[in-house]
Amino acid sequence: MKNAIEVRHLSKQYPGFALQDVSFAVPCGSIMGFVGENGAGKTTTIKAILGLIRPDSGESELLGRPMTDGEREIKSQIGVVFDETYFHDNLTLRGIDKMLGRIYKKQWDSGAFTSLCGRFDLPQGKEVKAFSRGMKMKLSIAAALAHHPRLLILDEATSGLDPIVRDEILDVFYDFIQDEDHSILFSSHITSDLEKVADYVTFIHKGKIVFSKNKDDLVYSYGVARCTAQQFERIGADEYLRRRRSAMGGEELLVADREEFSRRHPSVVLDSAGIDDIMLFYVKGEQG
Amino acid sequence: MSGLVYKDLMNMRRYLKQLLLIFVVFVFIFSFSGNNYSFVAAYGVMLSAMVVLSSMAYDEQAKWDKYALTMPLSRRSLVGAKYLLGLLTVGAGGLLSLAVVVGTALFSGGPMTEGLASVGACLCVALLMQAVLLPCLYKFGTEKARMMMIVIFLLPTLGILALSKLGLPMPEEDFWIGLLIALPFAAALGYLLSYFISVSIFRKKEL
Repeated sequence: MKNAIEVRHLSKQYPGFALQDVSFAVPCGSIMGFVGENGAGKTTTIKAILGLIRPDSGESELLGRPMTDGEREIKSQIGVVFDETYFHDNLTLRGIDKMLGRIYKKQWDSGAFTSLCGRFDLPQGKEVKAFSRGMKMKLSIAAALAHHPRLLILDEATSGLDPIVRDEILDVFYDFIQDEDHSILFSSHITSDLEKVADYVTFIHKGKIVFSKNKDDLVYSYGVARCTAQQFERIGADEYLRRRRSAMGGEELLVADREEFSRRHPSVVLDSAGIDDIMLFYVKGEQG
Repeated sequence: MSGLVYKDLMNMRRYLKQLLLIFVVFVFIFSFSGNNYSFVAAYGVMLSAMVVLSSMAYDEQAKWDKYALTMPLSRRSLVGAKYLLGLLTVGAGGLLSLAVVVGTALFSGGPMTEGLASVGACLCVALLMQAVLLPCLYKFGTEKARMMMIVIFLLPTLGILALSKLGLPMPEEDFWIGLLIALPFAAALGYLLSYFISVSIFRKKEL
């Protein structure tokens, strides 16, 4: 098996929004960052992968198999964390432990669950409704890991959390990915988290995949050129990907190959581009 | 599936205790006011029929189904767990009511047969009610189904009221006995049929 997740030509029409021909793959042993602004289609894509919604066309495979081929077995090997916890308000850690033990059967590692809850300082005996948002997310993560999955699917699992909690959580994901059989699909709009941990980045915008690339290639080869109006006139439309007007009145360009660009236009100021910059250029900028 | 039933019972443990308390208070009050124990039995069974409906509301509020389906559970087993919970809670309500009816019949000489028939009939009606309501809940969600629930509870009452106003002759005793015998079969068949309808609704649901 080469890919932990493979999505091919997924489409789904909604009134006012559509997923269009979404394709990408999460290679085994890697962390795929899945970025896009709110409403770009990240959650819809993840729901389609998990079989929570039915796509109009296209297909997806988890751990080398389509969901129709052994749904239970596939789902027993994945852990999913959404942007909030869906455990009932009146449950306690003990109750959740017992319930999941009955659902995951032999696979459930009660000791691992307890030790993760301990590592996260989750209060024993309290009910879920008394948990803070950070605690709830940590609870969801502990629950997603304690059956020893091979694939983690995280949908905005770190958004709305303070940097300290986010850092703790990222550490746990780091431990998880040490096993080279493990993979993570990590959807987020907090690009700094992805820059820290992701191996690949897939960028979705208005229901379409803009690119799916190796993160290092992106960070090392993409650049932002800042030029004046006169400089801009000498630059061909095929030399940059996107442009946008800067606050100073000049032009800012997103270029795919920084070195090549600086050879051709040595006088233009050129910076490296973060995932944030790239997103901004696609969402706010214009086509090259 | 047992994990899901366990989850509902754990989550609603306080609510279940409250229901039990209400029932006990009710029995206590009625023990001072004559011998209408068939009514107590009916009340106990109907109270227990509410449990599964409440559990659906809790699930919806927590968006539980979406999460549960990321676990090694099929859509069918999610529906199956609800129908199992319905059977268990109505069964428990039936047992409690039965205990009250048998207890009073033994100690104060109330009408045993009438009480037993009443508990049995109520059990069947409670199951039939769940059989109608559960598919509605899966189809329309708890908010919209709440209105339907009121209608479903009211319709039989209104029907009987209308019939009595029309002055039609009351059916013979044989009719009632026949109805009593037919009810369990209708309830079992209805509940089973309802399960398959709910599964087919829930299969198509987008979460």
